[in-house]
Amino acid sequence: MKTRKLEYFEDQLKASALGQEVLQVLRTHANEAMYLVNKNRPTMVCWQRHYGPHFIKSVVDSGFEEEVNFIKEVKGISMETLILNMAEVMTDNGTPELKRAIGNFAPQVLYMARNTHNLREIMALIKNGKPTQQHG
Amino acid sequence: MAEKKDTYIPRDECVDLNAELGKSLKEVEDAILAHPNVLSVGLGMKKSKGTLQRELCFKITVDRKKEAGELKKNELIPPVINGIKTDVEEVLQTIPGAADSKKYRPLIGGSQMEGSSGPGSGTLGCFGKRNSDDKIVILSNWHVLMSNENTIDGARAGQPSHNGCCSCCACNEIGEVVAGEFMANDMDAAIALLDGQEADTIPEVRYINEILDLGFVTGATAPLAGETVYKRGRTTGLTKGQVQNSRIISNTPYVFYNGVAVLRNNQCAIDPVAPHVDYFLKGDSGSVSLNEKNQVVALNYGFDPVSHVTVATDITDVMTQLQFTILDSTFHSGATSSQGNPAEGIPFGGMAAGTMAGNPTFLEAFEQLEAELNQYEQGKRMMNLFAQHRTEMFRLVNENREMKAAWNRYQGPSFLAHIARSIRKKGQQVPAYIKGISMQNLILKMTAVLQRNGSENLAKDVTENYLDILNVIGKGKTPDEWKAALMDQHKNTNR
Repeated sequence: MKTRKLEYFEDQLKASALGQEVLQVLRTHANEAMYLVNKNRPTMVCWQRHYGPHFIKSVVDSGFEEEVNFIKEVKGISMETLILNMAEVMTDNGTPELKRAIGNFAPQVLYMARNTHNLREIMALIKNGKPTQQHG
Repeated sequence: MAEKKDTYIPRDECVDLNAELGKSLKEVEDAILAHPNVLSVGLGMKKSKGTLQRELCFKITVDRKKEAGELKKNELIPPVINGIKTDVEEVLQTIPGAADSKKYRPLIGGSQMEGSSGPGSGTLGCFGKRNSDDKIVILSNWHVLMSNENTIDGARAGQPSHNGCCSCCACNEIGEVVAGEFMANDMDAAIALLDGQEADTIPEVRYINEILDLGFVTGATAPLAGETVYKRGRTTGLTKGQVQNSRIISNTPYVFYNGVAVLRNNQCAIDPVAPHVDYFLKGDSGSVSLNEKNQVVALNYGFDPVSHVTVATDITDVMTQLQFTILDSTFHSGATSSQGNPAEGIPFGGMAAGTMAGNPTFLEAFEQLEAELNQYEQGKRMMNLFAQHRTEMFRLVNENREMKAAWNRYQGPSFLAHIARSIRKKGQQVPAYIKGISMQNLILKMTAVLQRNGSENLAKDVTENYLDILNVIGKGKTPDEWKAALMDQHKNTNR
């Protein structure tokens, strides 16, 4: 079993150009995103009503544990719905820079939520620098 | 009412089908009109056991349907002519159409109107230009504006109503009736000249060449059998229908004109499309039917309360007879004129025409883009989905508060205007950001809002397709680049 530290993912991301770009976006906007989730009422409500804590735990677990996939749905709410609604509420309430980042990256995150099964797959895609949204 | 089947036929298909069947129409007409009972022959949708079928056929109107035994062998209508089915129907008995009574300024099509001495409230159809002097006129029905069936007795028009007083003290008066046809020429139509055009062609009363809930009007064309149409009337609001017969005969008794019944040839019969039970009711008289390209195709004037069929006159006949031309809206930013609001007023953007020198009109460019998109499976699917859900989306953008706010705050009208311009002018890019919002932001927002507010079907289709739309949008900044992305997608799928 791997040591459950987030640095594990950070190291993986640093290994590729695309990963470094993703890391940079996360670092730039993490504080604002955390602030919105914890302090901004519409964002808080959206995060809780769409079972954000359940999904995030499941995603992290799927990165550490072999043969563990993240859950795609909780009580009728899909992970894609959570991400779409969080993108919406954070665009409504975030800074212009966050709005811009959401417009640039949310489509790819949504695509991955629909088409991958665990964080390991996502990390592999990023490492290989493959476009996350493909034709066909 | 019999259970409704899905009879939707895309307009392009209607054009092809009408052209194909139209080739032999004259020949069939000559042969069938010789039968003593037959009154007219046209093209329309096949009806089987009271239910419309997704199939065009020759529609034959007869005075009264008879059992085969009552007819001689040579009087029987063959079920198939030249490989095309026939359908026999009786003359449609209809009654003229009598609840949005709001005042609209600028004036707008689809709102309530009344004549100074007319029999009741009807609907303001749309706006046109008088051929002789380019002055602006309003189109509605004769029976909405006139108190008698024979003469234009100095009748004036009001929106939403007219108190009947003389022009100097009348409230809400907007114009004077200048031409019309009722007893002759197979139409119930009248036009009123908008007030304040004595010196020039800019009327005193401001108006917008738009129809409530439907958007900008983009000119006029003849109706096609089988095509989907929309109307907005004072009583039933926005409804959707399908032209089931483009050349029917209708007999309409007018109770307020002492029950005078008028038989009219070459009328267009429109069936309501689910969920609408009625396409048209009393008070919707004077409304116009628009096709999927927002072109006016017919002037509605009556309905049959039993079969729920609406009867309307081909708009090209009305324009020829009354000597006016329906306006064709321009679509470029800041398009303010006597015609009313700038482009920001466009809800979803009617498919209006542009008149910039050297460039195709928007409508021409849009048609070309549509034809090109239809070559790819993905493009065709997107165009069909848009056609299928456009009424609901128009309604939501116009009536649903959350949807309206989202569309406007996320720069929907501005992006749409840029796309329209880019379609018209090759190579012109759609800006990546407008006021800090990207098109991806707009699509994500509209997806979330539509999932919450749309019908089950709309929400499902939006959920299934928004990622594909985002994918295509992300591949470029012009419609040509999006088209190329669709082409790649098409190639990859077929590889």
